[in-house]
Amino acid sequence: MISLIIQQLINGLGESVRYALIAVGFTIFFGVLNVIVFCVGDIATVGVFIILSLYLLMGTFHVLSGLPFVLFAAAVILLGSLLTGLFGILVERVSVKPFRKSNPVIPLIATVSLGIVIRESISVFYPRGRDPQQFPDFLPSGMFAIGDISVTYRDLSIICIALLLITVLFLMVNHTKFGRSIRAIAQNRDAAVMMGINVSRIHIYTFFLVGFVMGLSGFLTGSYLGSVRYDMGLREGVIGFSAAVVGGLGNIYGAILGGLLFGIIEAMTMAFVPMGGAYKDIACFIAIICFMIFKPSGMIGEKILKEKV
Amino acid sequence: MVKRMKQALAPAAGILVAFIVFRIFLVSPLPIGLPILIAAIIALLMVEKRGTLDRMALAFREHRKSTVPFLILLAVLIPILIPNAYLIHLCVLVCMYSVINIGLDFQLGMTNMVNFATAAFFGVGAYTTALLTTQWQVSLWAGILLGGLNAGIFGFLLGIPTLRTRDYYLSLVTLAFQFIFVMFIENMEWTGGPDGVRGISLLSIGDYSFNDPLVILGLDLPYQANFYYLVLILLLMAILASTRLRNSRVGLAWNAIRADEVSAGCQGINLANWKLAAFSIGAFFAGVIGAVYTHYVGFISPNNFGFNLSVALVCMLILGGMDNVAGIIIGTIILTILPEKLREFSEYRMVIYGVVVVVMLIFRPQGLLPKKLRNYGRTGDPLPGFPRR
Repeated sequence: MISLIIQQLINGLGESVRYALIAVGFTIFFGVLNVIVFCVGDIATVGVFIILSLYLLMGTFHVLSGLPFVLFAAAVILLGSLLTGLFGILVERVSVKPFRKSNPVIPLIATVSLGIVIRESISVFYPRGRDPQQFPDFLPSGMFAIGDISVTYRDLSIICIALLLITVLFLMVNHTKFGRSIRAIAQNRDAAVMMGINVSRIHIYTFFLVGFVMGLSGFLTGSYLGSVRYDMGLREGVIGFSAAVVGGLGNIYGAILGGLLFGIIEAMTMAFVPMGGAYKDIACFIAIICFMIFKPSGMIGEKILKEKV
Repeated sequence: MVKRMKQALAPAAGILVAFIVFRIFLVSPLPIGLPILIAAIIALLMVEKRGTLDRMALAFREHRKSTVPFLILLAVLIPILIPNAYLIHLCVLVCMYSVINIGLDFQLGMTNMVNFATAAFFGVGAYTTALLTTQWQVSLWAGILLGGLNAGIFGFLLGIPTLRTRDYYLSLVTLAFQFIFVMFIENMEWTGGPDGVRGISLLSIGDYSFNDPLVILGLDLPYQANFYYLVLILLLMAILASTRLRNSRVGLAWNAIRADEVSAGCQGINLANWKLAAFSIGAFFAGVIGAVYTHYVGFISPNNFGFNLSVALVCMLILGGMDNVAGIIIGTIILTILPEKLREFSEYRMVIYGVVVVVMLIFRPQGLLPKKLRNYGRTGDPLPGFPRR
């Protein structure tokens, strides 16, 4: 029994870190812009498809094919993520910048619509885009066992990469000049402008950075699921958003905690509810509504990004 | 006298022009319909710039004893003028979505509460009546009423968490409800699972089945005309309810909440009551329409009530203009018929929805027909200082 729980927790951890990554994306956007960029999950989907098509194209045209597979994979993934970062800038231009002075609900609706445009465009323009696409195995296969508990190397590397990314993001926000600008804008936009911070530029950097991270997170999702679909960003995005809110919007620790919570809820539902696979999402969404009723400001409280100077 | 006549005729002429544009847009194929639609929109914007639109709206209201019946007459004539089953079916859809949007407007337009769960309310109404009538042999009309009431109850329940939350949190709650609803329906056995419910009986009054062709004045109209008249009555009722609510203290309270929640509360507006009212009334509208829809198509499945429909409804509201019945209906007409004209490119449907909304939000966030200032008294003076948002 104990080993079953631990096994499920480890399985859930793979989900958790991915949700945490997306939640961190939401939270950074909210901290900097004070709006919800709803299509974060879809940016990750774009990332997956860019990486996938790069992999297929470079395989077909034998670009860099002399390299060992590890280096080749790393090149594909990094290039794809950079392109996703550029895509993030495009998102900012279209759905956030025009609405800087309007009611905060407007950019929310704009990004929801943009998410639809992204999803449907992938399904229409990618060859046979409505079908699930096989995602290549970039990560090592195989597994090892400790007692009754078995861990695949794939899950382990996903967890490690995600944790590494979150740590890097965290250090960037807290210990670099760029991070200081982000926090300054989050705290008080006008004062930040007066201190000579170029807000538009920081917006662009933020979108590039989050886009880049979402590209990588898309890669992790693709590797975790083995196949990718045009509309997977919606579900991932909604759960990531929920994780960010449940943790407390604008709070990076909260986002990580929220992601962890949802991964665990899913794993536990799978383990202990009969036919749990069908109900894991329902359990998550019920958790969201409960949180909204009883603790709307989130587990840690919102906007610590703001208060911490 | 002549001036008065002119004043009375101007709105009628405006209605007629709008109707003709609508008819051409409905009937003709895309290469003709789209340019005409665009031309009409440009004309609308130009007319608005010169202030003619405001004067026309004022004249419309002043002569409402003649203009409103004229408008209703044109609406009644549609199936006779366009005796084509498919096109009447489109008109039925337009009326249905209009009613839902009028309900959604109570939340999104009047109170500024984003609701992404409209399709779920629509589905609650549909499933309520479908299950009641197929499994418990409840009468169809009772099923429709119960469907609406049940959706209203769900709206009330969903409203409760919203009392403590605003903006994003609220949208998240509705989003979660939308997803829960679809997953729940898909995974439960007693709702028919992913296959949905089949064999739902179509409407009838006494011996007269709505599935028979409608014969008026010797004209043989397709059976969709029956449903068209039914939903037209519902639409008129919804419009009446919406205008009455808007002009009452309820609408004022909603608008005050939209303008500033805290100060509305300080003015003695019971935030909890009015927010719950906005949610449950809007959900009731969606539920009734869901029930009618069920008895119209005779088959429902979870796909009919997904997130995309909710977003599409929000899009229609944004395109047309919130808190303005005429705008809502225009937005609904455009976004219901346009995708149908694009049948050949049916894959691009949702892309077009999304692009239209983003473009609209960038260039004209207030919608095609923006909401007007509230009028008080006979003179129509706007209340000084009422925020124009």
